[in-house]
Amino acid sequence: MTRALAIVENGHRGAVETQFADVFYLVRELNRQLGQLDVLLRGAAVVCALRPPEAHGGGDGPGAGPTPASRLALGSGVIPLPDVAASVEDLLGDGMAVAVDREDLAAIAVPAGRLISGVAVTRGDPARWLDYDGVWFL
Amino acid sequence: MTARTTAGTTTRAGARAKVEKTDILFAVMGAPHASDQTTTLLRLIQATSDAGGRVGVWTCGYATMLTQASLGETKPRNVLDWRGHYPSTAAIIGGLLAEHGESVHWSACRFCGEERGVTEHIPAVRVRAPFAFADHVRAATKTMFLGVI
Repeated sequence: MTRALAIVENGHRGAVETQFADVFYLVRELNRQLGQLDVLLRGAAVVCALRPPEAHGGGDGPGAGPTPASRLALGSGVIPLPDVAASVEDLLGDGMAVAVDREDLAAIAVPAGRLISGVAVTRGDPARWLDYDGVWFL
Repeated sequence: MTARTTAGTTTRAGARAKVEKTDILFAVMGAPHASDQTTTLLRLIQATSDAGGRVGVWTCGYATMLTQASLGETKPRNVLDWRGHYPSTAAIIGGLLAEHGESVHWSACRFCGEERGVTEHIPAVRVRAPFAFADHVRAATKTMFLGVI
């Protein structure tokens, strides 16, 4: 079994293009094929581990803003878009350890209770990379 | 090349095709999938069109791939949602142009497309020579660039 750390720095890439096949879809498939994957969200991707503001009653600060819609109404059609918060919960449901970088999370001033339960807050420094067979930037 | 014969209009050397007047031209240079640029583009098109504006779109670089005919109607199947319906970008844009055909015009750069293997676009998209770009800019009141090649 390969033990690898998947690092995601941007969880919002091509919503209309990917619809479902976004970076977290890839993470789930890699985990299914190869074994135990740990996931670290850092940089802008820390927002992927936040519950929608309506789920906790809102709040103040940059991290209190709305999450992107998971559907796009375009003309008479509706296009499904990735729901990154649901995807992060799926990663946890698959048994993966999901963490966010402590400093990057602090930088966006997230209100208490906004982080999806089960997501760890860690120091995302490279010292941890030695614990893994591979470190993959996805 | 197929692209030269399947476009709605074909420009030939010395014969410039007519370019519709538009209120805004979106010059889409950045690649799909790398950011949410395409989502933004579609929202802007719809908002402008709903407000009664006339829209031109010109794609260059990898953005020409958004409307390639080989994408078909749907994305590959989602193995986690076998019955889900996920339209291709070609189908999404084709639907948009079918609904807003009078006010939205979509052109793709021939050079950029052929350089990247886009040999055939959906019928509603016009393939234009790179040197026709200035005509589209002049025909628009404002031009907005999205991304870089």
